[in-house]
Amino acid sequence: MSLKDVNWGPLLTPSKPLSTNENGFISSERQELALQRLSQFNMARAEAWRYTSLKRIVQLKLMSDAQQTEPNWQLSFNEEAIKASSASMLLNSKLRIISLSELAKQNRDQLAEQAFVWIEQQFAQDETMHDLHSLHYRDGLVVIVEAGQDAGELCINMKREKSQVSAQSAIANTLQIDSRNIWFYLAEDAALKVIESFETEQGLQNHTQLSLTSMYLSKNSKLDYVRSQEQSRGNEQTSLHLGRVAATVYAEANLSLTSLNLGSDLCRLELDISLEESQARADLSGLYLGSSDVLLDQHLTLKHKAPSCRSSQSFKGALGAKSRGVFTGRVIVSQGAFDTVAEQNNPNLLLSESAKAVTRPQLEIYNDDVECSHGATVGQLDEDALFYLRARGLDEAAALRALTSAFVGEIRETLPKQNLKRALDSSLKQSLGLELELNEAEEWIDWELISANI
Amino acid sequence: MLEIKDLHVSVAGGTEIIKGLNLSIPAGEVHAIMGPNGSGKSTLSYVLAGHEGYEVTQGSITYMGQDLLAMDASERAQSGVFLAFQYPVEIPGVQNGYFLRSIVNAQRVSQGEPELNPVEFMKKVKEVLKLVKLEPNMLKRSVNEGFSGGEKKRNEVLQMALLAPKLCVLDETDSGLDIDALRIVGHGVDALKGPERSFLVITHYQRLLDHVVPDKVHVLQGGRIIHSGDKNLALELEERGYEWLIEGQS
Ligand SMILES: Nc1ncnc2c1ncn2[C@@H]1O[C@H](COP(=O)(O)OP(=O)(O)OP(=O)(O)O)[C@@H](O)[C@H]1O
Ligand SMILES: [Mg+2]
Repeated sequence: MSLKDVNWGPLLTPSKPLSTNENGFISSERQELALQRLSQFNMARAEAWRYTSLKRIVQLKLMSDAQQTEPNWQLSFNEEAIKASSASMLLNSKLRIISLSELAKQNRDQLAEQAFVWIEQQFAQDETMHDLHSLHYRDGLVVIVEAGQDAGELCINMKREKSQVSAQSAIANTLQIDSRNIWFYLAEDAALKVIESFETEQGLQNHTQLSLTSMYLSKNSKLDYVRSQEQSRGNEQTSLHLGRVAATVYAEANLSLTSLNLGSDLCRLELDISLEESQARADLSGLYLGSSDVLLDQHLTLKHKAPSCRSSQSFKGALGAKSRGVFTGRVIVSQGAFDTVAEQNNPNLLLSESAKAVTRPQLEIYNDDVECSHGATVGQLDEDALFYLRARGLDEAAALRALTSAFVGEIRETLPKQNLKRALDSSLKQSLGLELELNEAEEWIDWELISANI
Repeated sequence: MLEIKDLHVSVAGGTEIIKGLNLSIPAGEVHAIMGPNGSGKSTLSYVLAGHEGYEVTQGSITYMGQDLLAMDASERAQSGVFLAFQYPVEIPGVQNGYFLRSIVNAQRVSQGEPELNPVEFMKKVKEVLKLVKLEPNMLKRSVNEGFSGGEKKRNEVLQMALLAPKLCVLDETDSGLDIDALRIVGHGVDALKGPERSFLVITHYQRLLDHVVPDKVHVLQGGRIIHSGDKNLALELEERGYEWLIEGQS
């Protein structure tokens, strides 16, 4: 099946992907079909979806086209805001951003053609994406980085505010869906930094985020990708996040991915990374924070298909109240993938007696020349460390804070932006009741520098 | 300063380890406790510091006229009880410098004093670093993580000097130290001696006591103090071991 064969409704009709609600919504019949497919899809993948039920979505009523509104999109490129209206096509010598529908229509040069062919293939192959997309398809955003160019940093934020939700959506069980799909195509030797984030205003309910992010890393290209997801949680348990990130990494290319899941009633994140050619590298890290009775399901598949590739995964869960965290880390090393080094690490911190963590490393290794390490732990804070801190005069709350801060600190330090750190801090405070020990003014204290100046 | 009467301690819900211990340490005095492995020395130190893993089943501990057992670990620390751990705990991810400032400030706040900012703190810590001969880059590392045995012990003395406690309990702070480090730690402790400060020094060897001369030496065996004497007792024990005392007991 190719892109052209799919009846995507208004997908390939002219649309303004990031600005208005004029086009791009699928018809109600189409939505019915999507729901049907989704419920079947759930059952069809019983193992992969063992911990996440999509029942809630299936039971909800979708809004009609007229009821749907667009969330706020914010794009910035190297700190400069891109206006939504111009976002359908932004071109400079290093980078272009174009809507998928535009890309489908326009006369494509060689690079754009390569990107388009790749997207078509993805549509044809990726069933999960297909199914999720049928629920609520919006035009895609294609980001292409020219060969040999270091394009800088692109920030893409999608925020849903309460005031944007139409009056009808207040009716119980009507679901507001925000969806987006983004395609990153890096040509050879290209480099890009991306920060993709999802937010909702506090108190918003009946809200679903659907997100598909696909990445193509040509030979010797480099993509630093940070993904931050945060949703206000409702008492009806209807804030849902279904995300999928798929990356194909070619020879000597380098993918670094950081994921923050800071809140949802239900969050399912799929990561599907494929190291296609020799010396490709993927470093993946993540943090998921659970409070009340949320479910956070991280489902990772990493394929080593070629020799001398490197991968690391470090995903941490901090789970409070009755929350549940699931991490499935599937590493598949093919027969021909000699000299493979793959590390996996999934420590989970349980901050309450009723919190649960499930950790499922799945290593499928089909050759001998492989160095695979994996470590998974589920536990409370270290009692000895707590006592040590208290024996130095920190009260219990401060000692807990210090140790939890230490647990999340490692990933916090790698976050490239202050606002991401702030989002993490406020989320820790709100969902786990923990105020981080490090506050902003202090976090970069350089003891040597201070000491040299005294 | 410290008055322990008929103390009985069990591992929470289990065997009794300390079985009727009496000890009195007046302000300004240094008392040493020696005794064979497993006799209950560290248990005593944990009980003084407020470890919840041990249960006091009988007896009392009075510290500066207050009921010590009624306070939790952090209250005890804030009111001037300090334990230098036999095995200092590694805390990955908590920066040592940050930790030290937090504990100093926690103490200041509990005494109604303003917190120190990083620069003020750094001035204070620099002196103390010199006292125990630790490099400032030890502040950048995680608390005790990857510290050598001797560095851990010096980091304990560093904390003790920063907090200026009233009752210092040193649990084998001298073990694992090389000869120079022993002198450094010995001087460090000796420098803290004063009329308002008491020490309980747990050790297996006489050598620390050359630097920190004890007023009294006690022998702990089987959860009880079976013998007490002056500083010469330590020398005698070094020569004769514990057997002659233990035999006299039974
Ligand atoms: N949490 C515990 N659970 C079980 N037994 C314990 C516990 N803590 C201490 N003990 C036991 O109590 C006894 C005294 O231990 P303690 O550590 O106080 O000895 P110590 O005098 O400090 O010995 P050392 O000289 O070797 O440091 C030992 O037999 C020890 O195994
Ligand atoms: Mg001991």
